[in-house]
Amino acid sequence: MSKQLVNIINNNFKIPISYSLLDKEINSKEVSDIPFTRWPNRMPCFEVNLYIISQLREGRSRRVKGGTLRTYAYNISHLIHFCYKNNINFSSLNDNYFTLFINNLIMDKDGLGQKIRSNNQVNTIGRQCINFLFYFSFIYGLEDFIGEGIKFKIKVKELKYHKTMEGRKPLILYYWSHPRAVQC
Amino acid sequence: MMIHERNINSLKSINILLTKIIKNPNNHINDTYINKSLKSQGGLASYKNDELNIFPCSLNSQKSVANETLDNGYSSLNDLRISALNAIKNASSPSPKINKSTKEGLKNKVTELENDITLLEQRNLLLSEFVLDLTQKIRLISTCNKEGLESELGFILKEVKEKNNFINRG
Repeated sequence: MSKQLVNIINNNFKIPISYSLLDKEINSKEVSDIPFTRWPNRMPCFEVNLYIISQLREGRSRRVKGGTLRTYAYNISHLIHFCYKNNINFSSLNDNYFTLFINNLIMDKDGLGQKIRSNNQVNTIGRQCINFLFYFSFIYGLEDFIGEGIKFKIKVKELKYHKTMEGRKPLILYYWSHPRAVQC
Repeated sequence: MMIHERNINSLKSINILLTKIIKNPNNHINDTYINKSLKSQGGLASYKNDELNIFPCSLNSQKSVANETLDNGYSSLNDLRISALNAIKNASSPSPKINKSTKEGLKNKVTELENDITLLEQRNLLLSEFVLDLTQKIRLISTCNKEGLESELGFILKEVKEKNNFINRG
């Protein structure tokens, strides 16, 4: 069974953009190089694919074999692996599972006992997965799945950081963080 | 004047003939004369067919007549010629053999299956999004009051029908 969970659809194909009531037809856009995600048992991963398309609509790059979208898909594929290994759905995730997921990412080691990925890489994966879980809760209308507060199954916190660029005012950017997971 | 008019009519007939060839290349695979004529611009200009009222003329006359009468000038006629030539070439080349007993057959089988998978993945993406769209529409309907429900439902059903057709066309 192939381990690769993400493959890129190279062919050009049209996706519907909007429906025109006047012309009574669908306006479409031709796209290519879209990452397609699967579960390890080769079944298509419905939710992640939807997330990827939503990010495509927000204008994320597809240049050079999938671009940003491919990076997103690869980052989320870690969560897919985790859920499949533990035999749970995305909707069964909670604080404990998420912490375990992040700890697993930190503790992953290669044959020589060295860490596979850096702490920054784990941060990126974790934040991407949190963004995906927000989208997941939107798809199914789960009101107490992920958010800031006690009632949520996965409790996250919004933090801000200043991005400084030479000759410009510092930008204030916000991101979601999971306080219980050490890194994220 | 007579010759000029004849050339114009001849050009129109050539246009019709080329579009016919593009639509049904199978009827012209064995016609060696038209195959030879399509290979070059000069060949097309010297093509003669009394039944279709196509008369030979020099390439320069054909170009000047085409520039006068056609929207995009001679280039559109040349494009048509090339597409007709390609259509005949594609129709005449035998389809690749797909079997499991030879190496070449297996290669073709792999290519065919890969293409199938890509198409299914594309369809799966579109259908996934369609499902999300439908669930959002259900949510929208659930918030409508009784008066707005009927008109909203009409719009939504039309849109769903069009999207379904769009996805099925591929």
